[in-house]
Amino acid sequence: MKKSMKVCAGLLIALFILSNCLTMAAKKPVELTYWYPNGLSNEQAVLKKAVDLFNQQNPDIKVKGEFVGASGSGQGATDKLMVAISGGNPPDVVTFDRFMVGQWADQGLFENLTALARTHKISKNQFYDFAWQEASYKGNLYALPFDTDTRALFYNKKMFKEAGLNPEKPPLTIKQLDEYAAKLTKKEGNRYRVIGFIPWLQQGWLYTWGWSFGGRFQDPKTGRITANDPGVVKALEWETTYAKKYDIEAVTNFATAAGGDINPFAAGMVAMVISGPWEISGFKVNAPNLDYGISYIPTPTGANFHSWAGGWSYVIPKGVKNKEAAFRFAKFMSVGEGARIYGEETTHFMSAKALNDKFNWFKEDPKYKIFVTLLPKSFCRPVIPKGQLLWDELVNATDSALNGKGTPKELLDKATAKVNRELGY
Amino acid sequence: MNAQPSMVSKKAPRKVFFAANHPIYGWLFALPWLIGLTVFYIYPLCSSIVYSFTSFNGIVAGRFVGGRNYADLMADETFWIAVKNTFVFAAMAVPASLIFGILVAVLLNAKIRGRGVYRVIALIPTLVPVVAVSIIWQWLLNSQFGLVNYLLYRVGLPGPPWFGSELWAKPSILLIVIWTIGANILTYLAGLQDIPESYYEAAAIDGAGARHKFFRITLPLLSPIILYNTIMGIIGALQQFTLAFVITNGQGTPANSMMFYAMYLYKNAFTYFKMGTANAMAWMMFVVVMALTVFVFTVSKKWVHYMGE
Repeated sequence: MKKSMKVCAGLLIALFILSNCLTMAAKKPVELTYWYPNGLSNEQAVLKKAVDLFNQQNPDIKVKGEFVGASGSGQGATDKLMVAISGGNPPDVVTFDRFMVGQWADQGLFENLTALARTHKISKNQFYDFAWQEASYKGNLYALPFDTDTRALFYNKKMFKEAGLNPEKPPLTIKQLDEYAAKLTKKEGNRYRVIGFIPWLQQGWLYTWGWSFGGRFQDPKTGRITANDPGVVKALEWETTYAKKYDIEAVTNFATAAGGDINPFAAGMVAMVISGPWEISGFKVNAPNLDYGISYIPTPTGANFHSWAGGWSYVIPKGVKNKEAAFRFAKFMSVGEGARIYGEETTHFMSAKALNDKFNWFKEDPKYKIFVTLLPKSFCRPVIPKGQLLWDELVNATDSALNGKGTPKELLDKATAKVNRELGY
Repeated sequence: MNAQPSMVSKKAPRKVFFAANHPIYGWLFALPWLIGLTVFYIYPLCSSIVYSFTSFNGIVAGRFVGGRNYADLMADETFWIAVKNTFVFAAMAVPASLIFGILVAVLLNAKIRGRGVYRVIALIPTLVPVVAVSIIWQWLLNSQFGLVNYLLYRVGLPGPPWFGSELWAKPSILLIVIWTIGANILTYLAGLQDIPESYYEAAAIDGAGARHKFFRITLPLLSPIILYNTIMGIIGALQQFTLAFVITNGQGTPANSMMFYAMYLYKNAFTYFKMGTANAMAWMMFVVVMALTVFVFTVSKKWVHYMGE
């Protein structure tokens, strides 16, 4: 009797301790590691704020944000993430360049979020088309869209006036653009003081002009890449006329000076430039006296204005332990309060449509308006497993054409063939 | 009593086993290092040969594809551009750093006041991390806003487009490499100080001038160090990565003139998910570097003089 009593008591105590441990374990929040590549201090500050807010609102989850520096073409810490995933110890949630989601999803590196999106009531119509397209691959969702941007023509009103152009009438057709560019250019000896316009400066990628000239980069039916589409070829041919007219080497240096702290448009060295909405807040601080306007990217016909958009997203790497918790944080940053405060405090447009016209900065500055009209009409780059290769090939083809190494047609034929071969067509 | 010797003979081998000079101790002491070598060097080396024959994407082991990675590279235009760029760069960088290295070392070896200060100045650039060096020179050599071209403009010289043109891109990188030559200078300086003063005195008595002294005494006696720096220089130049990668943002612009072999290898591995191809590239690079090193060594017997031989 005594013995069995002892055993019973022992068991009870053991049970008590065990249950205590279990409840303690349950009370301990799930810890998530979150990687972001944003190096700018104001973006980091907002991300920290958003993480703190999420942790406050969700006591069962504890997100730990870590800045992981970018390497290479400014597209985030891809090599580090790759090593972390293959090492079996990935971060739970990552801010990732949306344009590469397809490529990584194709390699099976990200968790499929389709089912979670359904249970959490996230759907296509909350976002701009391009953002949802980029976040999906072969009918499944692999990312939650975060911020976004789109491209337009910035022009210097003061220089327009000096050159006898109407500052309220920016060029709409390519022909006008060429004329204005010539009028706005100023030379001093063998150095350019001002170059009216450089098509490939800043955001003037071949994508920008290919779409402007009515070209298409992918056949929607077959999925084949069509970078040698007549429209794209015409666009590149037009770009090379600038390389010939203005000394390509001098012009390239204007282009390589872009980025960092020197902005050739703000410095008054170019009169027109293709860029994005992020410039507006930058100019306010760095060039408060700059008198400029923003207009559509000119097209050959002066109608059918488009643009193209990119941006970042939240992904969950393959093999994380707490997919559900990670998704809740991603949702908070994509459509929730996290997205709202990030957009509000960094003056970034967000991919979640409902947020943009409610931002204070948007209401205060009419310059932002054109971007909101362009966003629904914006394209995204083809979502293919070789998106980075296509990007590099287009950059190479442009660069070679501008430097006179081959005609646009043959360069784009070659690039198209190479990417299609890699895609297995 | 008969059992005694047999017990001793049984114990004897054990005693020998624990003897302080038993070879096992050597192996035991070397074991931590051996394990490290096997796990971190030999295994990755061997597995990378295997991977070079597969469609490995960096995460999921791929299937065996035979020599396709190698064949694809042979047919890849960018690959050959990268090979050409790398060799052209090495052909410029190795002789240039040799000549400048010796020249500066000889100057710094002269008995002048403040010699120590000059030596420190020559060494300082090597203390700057390579990425920082790249960014500094990116600004200095910017043809529109850069300090170098501003100074050239002020004295009425045309400023080259530097990183903006195909012609000037590699010389620009070369300039940076020469700027960071401090470690080479240090080895040459050590070599120069090793040459006995009496040789020069004897030469002076025989009526030799400065030029004769340099070519007949200094250079031959510096040759072992020249050999060392040549080999290290070839290896370094063929693996050039950081400068071009940072300056061109990983793109190798303009017109692929700064797409170096190591950069294309990195792109294949980490942006195109072609780790198999990247491994194939690494092995081809290894074979070429090995062959060049062996070649330089063989030829060196003709021109390298070791003191005391």
